[in-house]
Amino acid sequence: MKKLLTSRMPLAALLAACALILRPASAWAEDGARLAAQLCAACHGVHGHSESPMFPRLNAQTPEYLIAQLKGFREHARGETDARSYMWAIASQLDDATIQSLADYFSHQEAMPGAAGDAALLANGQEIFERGVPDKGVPACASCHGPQAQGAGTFPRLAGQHQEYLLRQIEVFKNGTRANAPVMSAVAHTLNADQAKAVAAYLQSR
Amino acid sequence: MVTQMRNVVVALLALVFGMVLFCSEARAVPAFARQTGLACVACHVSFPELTPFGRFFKLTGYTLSNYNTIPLAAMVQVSQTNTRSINNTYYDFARNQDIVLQQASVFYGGRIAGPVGAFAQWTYDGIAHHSGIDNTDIRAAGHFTQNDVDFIYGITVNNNPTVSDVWNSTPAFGFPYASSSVSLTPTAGTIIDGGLAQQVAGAAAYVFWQRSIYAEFGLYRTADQMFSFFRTGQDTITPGGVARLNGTNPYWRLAYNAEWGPHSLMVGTYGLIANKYPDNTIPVSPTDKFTDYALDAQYQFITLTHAITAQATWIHEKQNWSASYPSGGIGAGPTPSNPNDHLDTFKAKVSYYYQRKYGSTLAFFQTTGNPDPGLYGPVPVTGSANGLPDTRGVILEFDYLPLPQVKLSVQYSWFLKFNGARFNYDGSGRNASDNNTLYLLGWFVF
Repeated sequence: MKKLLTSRMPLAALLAACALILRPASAWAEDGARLAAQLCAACHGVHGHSESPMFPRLNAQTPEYLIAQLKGFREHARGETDARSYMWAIASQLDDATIQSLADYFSHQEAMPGAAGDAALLANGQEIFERGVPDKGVPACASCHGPQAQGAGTFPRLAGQHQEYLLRQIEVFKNGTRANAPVMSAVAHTLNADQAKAVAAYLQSR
Repeated sequence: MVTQMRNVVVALLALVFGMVLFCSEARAVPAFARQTGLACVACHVSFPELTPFGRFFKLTGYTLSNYNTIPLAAMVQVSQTNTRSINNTYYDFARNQDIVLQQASVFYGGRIAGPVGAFAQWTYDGIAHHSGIDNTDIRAAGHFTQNDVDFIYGITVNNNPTVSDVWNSTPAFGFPYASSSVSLTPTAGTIIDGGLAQQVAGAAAYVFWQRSIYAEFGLYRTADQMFSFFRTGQDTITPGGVARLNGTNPYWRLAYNAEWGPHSLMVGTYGLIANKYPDNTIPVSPTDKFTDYALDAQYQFITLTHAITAQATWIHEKQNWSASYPSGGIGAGPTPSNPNDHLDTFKAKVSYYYQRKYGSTLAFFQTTGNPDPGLYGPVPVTGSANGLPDTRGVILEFDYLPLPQVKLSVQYSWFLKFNGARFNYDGSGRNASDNNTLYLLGWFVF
């Protein structure tokens, strides 16, 4: 046994040495399109059109919003559990120029509507989106996110986004773990579960 | 002695808990988590089962790296096995009901340099009191993307056919992900289902095209001479100690993968042709030929809250005893009664996880084949009275992960058939259900 262990030592030492000396941290070029295809696509899908509702769709997202979020992940300003689990690490290696390039890339990808749902639910969601719920103090979503939910500046595009992702965001705005958008933190508290579900279903279908 | 061992186990447990709690940054194969900065759940439904992102990480050579870290990790399995009926007259059910340090491993996991990365495991087996190399996969990968073309390609050098695979329907990382090493196990199994693990060295090339078609082709040989570190710790001296292959032996894998919404699906085939010396210490004899064809499938539904996953595989093995049959057995090798035999193994499982924290799994396993009293003889407890290899059973497992790097499992295995029969399978009055096992496991990674 002793002999076995001894004979293993040079290999272990070699592996450890290789790892410590030769291993560079990832340095991403400022090529947003390439990085998007090589890495982001693994979760966010081809051209940012993700399949899994765990990961937001990024296609046609506003560049200002993308920049704010990527910097938010990098600087830990956006800190809900999912952000910590995934994007904190991924964004940690992005410099400002790369973030800009990624934002350019995703914002120029084609928008696509998501799956539609129950007609009554969608109508209810559209009502909330366009007019808000005045007696509960819910403002019209369209007033900030644009009449087509296409986004405006740092107010993100919501059209075509996964319903499940949108609901998750309302939840984390509510519980305070995503605290990088004070306006939404306030709005999220005014929406009840049914209203949130309706508006998220409507937005996904746009 | 037992008390002393228990003290050691308790001390070890305390140490592990301490380390787990202290290292708040520790995550699942934690060296990978530290290198990428990602949470366990990014790559695992529940370790070691991979998510689509986990498959991507493995296929790209374990090279995704966000932080410079020391690529080492460890794991400890502490378990207790309760076999339903123990008959110490014929068989020594050693360590049954003891709390044992089942396994302790050290991992090298992560990028080595550039496109090269590795998953390498060194394991101390607390039942056999013996240590050696475990599953090891060293690979180099590239990822080509241009316009809408996306393909990952690479080469792997490893020591267990299917260890390179990224779906958990294939044997090396298939269910059960942990099981008792104290309980009785059936005699018959196909060679691709662990029969060559840590005894061979293989090199394979693979491509994953458009996240859709996966193809891999490799050649395996005995891990001797310059490849001997791939089987370090194996008993190569005792006749019958390890499998020894003649020349290079092909392994193939072809799979179709699809992902839509929270769903992912894989349907595939894999196989191996192995020319094996009946006795590993007589590498000049003729060889027996094993041909394994397998089909497999995997389905996963994964959201942040719910995960439903299912895997199934069917393996057909043709055994051509062209060396062992005409000679009546070579050295310590098998003594088949037929010139040709076959085995069919079918395994399937379905799991549900809630918040990746509470899990349950139901599994079915079965191996059948033609009778061969020369291979499956009537030995009390471990043998087969009717010469059939047939085994069938069900596993029910519950898992609880209080922390992402701690898995506590309760597993029950029911044998509906064991070594050929349900009742009196060994000819000495033992029933298949006597081998039913309640297995308690604490699995810690750090």
